Amino acid sequence: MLWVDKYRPRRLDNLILNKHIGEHLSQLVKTGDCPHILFYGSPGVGKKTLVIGLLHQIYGDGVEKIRVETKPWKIQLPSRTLEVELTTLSSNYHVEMNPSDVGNNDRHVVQEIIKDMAKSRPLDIQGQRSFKVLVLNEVDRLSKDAQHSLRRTMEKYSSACRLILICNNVSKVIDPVRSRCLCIRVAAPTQEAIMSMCQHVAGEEGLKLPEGLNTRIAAASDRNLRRALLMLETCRAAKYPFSDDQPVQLTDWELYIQEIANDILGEQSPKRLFVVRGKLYELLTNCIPPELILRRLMLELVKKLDDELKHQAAQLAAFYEHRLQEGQKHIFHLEAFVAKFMSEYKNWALMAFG
Amino acid sequence: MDFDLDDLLDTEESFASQGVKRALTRPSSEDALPKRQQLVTVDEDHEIDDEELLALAFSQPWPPPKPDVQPSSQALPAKLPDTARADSAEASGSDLYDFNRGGMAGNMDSEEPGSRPLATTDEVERCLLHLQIHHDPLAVEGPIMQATASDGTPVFCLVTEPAAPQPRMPSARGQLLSRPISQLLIEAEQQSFDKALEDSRALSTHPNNFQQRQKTAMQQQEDGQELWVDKYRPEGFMELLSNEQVNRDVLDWVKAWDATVFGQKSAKPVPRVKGQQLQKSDTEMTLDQKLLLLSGPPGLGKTTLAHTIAKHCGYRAYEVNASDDRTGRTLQNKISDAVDTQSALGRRLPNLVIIDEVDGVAGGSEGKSAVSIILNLVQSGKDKGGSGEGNTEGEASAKARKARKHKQLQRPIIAICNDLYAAALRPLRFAARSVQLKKPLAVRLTSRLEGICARERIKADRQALLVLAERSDCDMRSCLNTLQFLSRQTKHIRVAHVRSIKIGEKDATQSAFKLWQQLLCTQGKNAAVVSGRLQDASRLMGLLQDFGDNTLVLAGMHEFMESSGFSDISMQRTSSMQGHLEDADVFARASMRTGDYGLQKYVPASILALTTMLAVPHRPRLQWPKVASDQHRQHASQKELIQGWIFGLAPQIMASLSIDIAAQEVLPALLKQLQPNIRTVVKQLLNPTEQQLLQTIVAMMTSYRLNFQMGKYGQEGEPEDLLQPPLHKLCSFQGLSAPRPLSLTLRQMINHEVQLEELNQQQKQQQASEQAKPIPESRPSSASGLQEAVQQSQAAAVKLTYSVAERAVAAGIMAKRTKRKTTWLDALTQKKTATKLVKKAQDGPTSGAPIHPPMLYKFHEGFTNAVKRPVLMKELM
Repeated sequence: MLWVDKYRPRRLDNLILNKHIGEHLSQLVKTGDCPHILFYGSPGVGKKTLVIGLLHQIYGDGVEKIRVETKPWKIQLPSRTLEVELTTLSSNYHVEMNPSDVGNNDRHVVQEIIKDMAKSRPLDIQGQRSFKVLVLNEVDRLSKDAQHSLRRTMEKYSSACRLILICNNVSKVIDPVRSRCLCIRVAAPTQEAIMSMCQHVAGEEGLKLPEGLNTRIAAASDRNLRRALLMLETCRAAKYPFSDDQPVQLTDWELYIQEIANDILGEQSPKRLFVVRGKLYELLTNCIPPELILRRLMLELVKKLDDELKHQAAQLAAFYEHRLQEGQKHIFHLEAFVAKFMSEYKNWALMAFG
Repeated sequence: MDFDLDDLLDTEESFASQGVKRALTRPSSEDALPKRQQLVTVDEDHEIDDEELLALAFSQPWPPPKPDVQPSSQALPAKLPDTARADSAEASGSDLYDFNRGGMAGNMDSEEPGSRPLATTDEVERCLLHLQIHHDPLAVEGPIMQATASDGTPVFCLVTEPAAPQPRMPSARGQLLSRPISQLLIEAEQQSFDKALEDSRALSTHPNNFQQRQKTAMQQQEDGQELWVDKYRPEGFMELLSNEQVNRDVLDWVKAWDATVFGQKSAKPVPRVKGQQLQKSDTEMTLDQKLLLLSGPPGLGKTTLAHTIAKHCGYRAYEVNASDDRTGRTLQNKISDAVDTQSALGRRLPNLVIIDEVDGVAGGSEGKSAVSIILNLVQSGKDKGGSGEGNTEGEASAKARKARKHKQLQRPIIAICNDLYAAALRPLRFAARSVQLKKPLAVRLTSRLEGICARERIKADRQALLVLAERSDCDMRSCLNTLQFLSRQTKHIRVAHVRSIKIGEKDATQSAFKLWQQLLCTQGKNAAVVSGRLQDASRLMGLLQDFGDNTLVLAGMHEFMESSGFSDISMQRTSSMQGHLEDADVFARASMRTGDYGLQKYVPASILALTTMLAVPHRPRLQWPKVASDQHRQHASQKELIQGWIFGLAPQIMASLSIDIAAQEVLPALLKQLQPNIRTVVKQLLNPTEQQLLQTIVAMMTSYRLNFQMGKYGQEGEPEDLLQPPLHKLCSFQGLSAPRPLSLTLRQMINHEVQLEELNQQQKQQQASEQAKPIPESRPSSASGLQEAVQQSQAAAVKLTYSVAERAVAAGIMAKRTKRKTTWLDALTQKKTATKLVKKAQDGPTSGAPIHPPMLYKFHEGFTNAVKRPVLMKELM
């Protein structure tokens, strides 16, 4: 297993990062009940780990017997029958799913499937908890409609079911849902925290991690623990006895975006723009989300820009990210950003150097 | 006549006798006046009966083809002497019905010569009566019956029992008819011949047969209630306006079915001329494509063509069109009914199924199933191939009846559509022979229109008609409709009339290519300069709004930008073009999201703005935009790939993965793990570090369900690791230096290890479940775990294999974590400690093991890359 999975704590007590949140949570469920909870925070900060720990705290070991089910659902709509296939991870006590997977039909999934699951009360065999837990991932990806249908479900079936919602961006979750939950922000770990975590894992593995490398891994990780650990493991595979000046390998797509940035700065012409277009297509094809591409591209560009232009680049990126959210063809907006940036850059270059 | 009448008589369903019988029984059933005697004058009916009789007797296409146009060889025999035949036909024709004319001849002279009275009662059906008709009841001796003649005067009939039927010929059916069937058939034949002669004479006197027919049509329909479109629908093969070659293609295709459709009949003892011929020529000709897909823009006469050819080839056209319920299941029932059955009235004409507007069928929600059903029908039994034909025909038909579902398609199906390239029709396109109808020449259409105008007594300028034809894009239907409309206004149609009305002009939904051409080409816009840019813009706007599919237009423009190769030094233009693209996209999305489709109207505006910047003076080189859709498809498949992989993982790991996380973070890292720095040597020769790396990789690959794929490797310089599932594709970017793929041997080795590991795990799980005891909490590391497994399986075996020892060495070294770069010789020097380790490990499970396991060292010359130096055995032991 990758170290990320191998050293993932499975109990609230074992947490190192977010230890305080873990303590709060175990206090919370000590009474035998818990409210709906919404975890939010950027990727790789340990939301999922907290949920796993919390579930264990509530139900004990039984919750770790997970099975995967892919079930076709038939939802009867007034005009047609909708067939949806949804994969769920479930134990005897909880069900975990990703309702945004079904795309545009997520509203019906929430209305029918989740309600259906929430309705049925768990069989009270050995005096277990009288409620079950529904874990919904990526709630921020749910459409507004779906979120609205969620809010009533949360109230109506609260006697039998608790929802644990996980999202990256809490501002994309509508207020009514937020107000029904205990919102827990899971902050991104500081660089020092990441360094200590890496050191910890290296210790567990019996490796000696030089300080310099550790610092660089933490810096490159964007305060994302998962990234940091994966980087560490990649470094281990590349060359074991770590050397202090060992390069931290970036992922391929990041390298590719670097290349795009170089292309953009190297020449500003329609021809180059269309070269960039091909590369952007490639990134999109390989499941890199357009927002991330834009962000990363901007960061790479800013690295090599004159101070005068830096804020302009950031502003442009922000503007086009907004457009990206409004539109549906990602490539148009990414390309528009590149074109606009090229135009601005060229303008500046002409002004500056004549 | 060269077919054998006696044989025909012997056949069970003697069509002729049926026909005659029906002629007798029909009036009674229709009139529903069973108890009253009534004289019915049969005019049209009678003729039809005659014709049917003939058609059946000859069993050849109807209407009798004109001798000069008949393409096939089975034209009417034209060698008999005309007059004699005609006379005898006339005579026998009257003889045929003389039993019901009887003495009436004198009384009913006033009637038209063509009309032949036919008396029918129940008695007539039971036994033939000889009727004598009189006007004066007193003049009659014997029982009488009253009846009413067709002119209303009462008549009286003498009812006499027929004299004991004297069979003039020893025929089974002789008693039902006043004359033997053979005679009747001869007469029928002569009649038909007579008629054919008459037809041909008519043709020769009126060379323009079409016009002649139109004249009669016009006489009948003086008031002009009928739509001209129906009125002047072509009825013969030669009247079709469509391209001759296309017509012939379709005809050939339908004719190719003759062996299948009509060929089976010839299995009967009757050696039919036609069947025989076709059998010889066509049985070998296998029908590869069992479906004809007729496509072309509306109004060119596709439906008419199909119907005409069906009629021409002797089929009954069975049409399924958009007005019927065409969901998948009903369609299947309908088609299979039509294909498997024949009309109940004496199984005469086989069906030819015409599925009109298939693209319409495909458009609905049930479309896919409908298309696939057609496809199934067409392809069913294809795998069996010639078996149906290879057998003797009788057997084949019996079998076919039994295995109804799996039999081959026995009847031709013609599917008609407007857009051959509609997405939903793609599957059909490969299975069908497709024939595309092109626009007829405007001149040809014009001359037809002229003919029609002449028939309708309308004066029309030739030029006006030409304009009309061109404006309607040679759509005959719309031409005729417009013409009819115009004819109500004026009796002299001039160009001005045609130009003044908007009707002839279709609401032109152009093809996408044409639209792009219009948008992106400034060439023809000199006129625009004259008429003003505003007008030109509004024209383009109209075009865009008509076209409707803004997404497609946008995609086309987006890709055209790349190929147009414009230069833009300051990038201003490019960036504002991109801005317009963006705007259009945002509007489109907004209207979709909010359901406010009013916003859609702003999309064309953005496109138009983009157009003004992008337009080129020359004719643009356009390509169908497919990059974006390709990308979309690939993206979807990549997503599917990751999703599939994630769902296959162990639940514990799966819980922490999502598609995004997998693609961005986990997979790149995971794949880098699988690029170990291991020499390509036999596993036993690896140094401890490499051994350890190998173990890690194997463990990783097992837990993440990955495998190397063997087989083709690095074709066309493509760096591929050939992972299974092919996740490496996700991390490969064009132009980015990909890591050197592992060598085949290494991959083989790793794969082997992975398999071993998986086996071990399975075994372990089995054991765990058998003993129902929990797996020990502290799971041994995979290296020693393997060793343990090996030991367990070979518990009794004393011999320790070399590899086990080697593993132990690896384990030992791992424990020591030597930093020194080791060679295999160093490894050998470690053996001393290793053997001890092994001994210890072995002592656990097998207590009585020998203390000094036999060890073999074998040096393979040429397999070592180390420097040889003398080593004392003592050092090794």
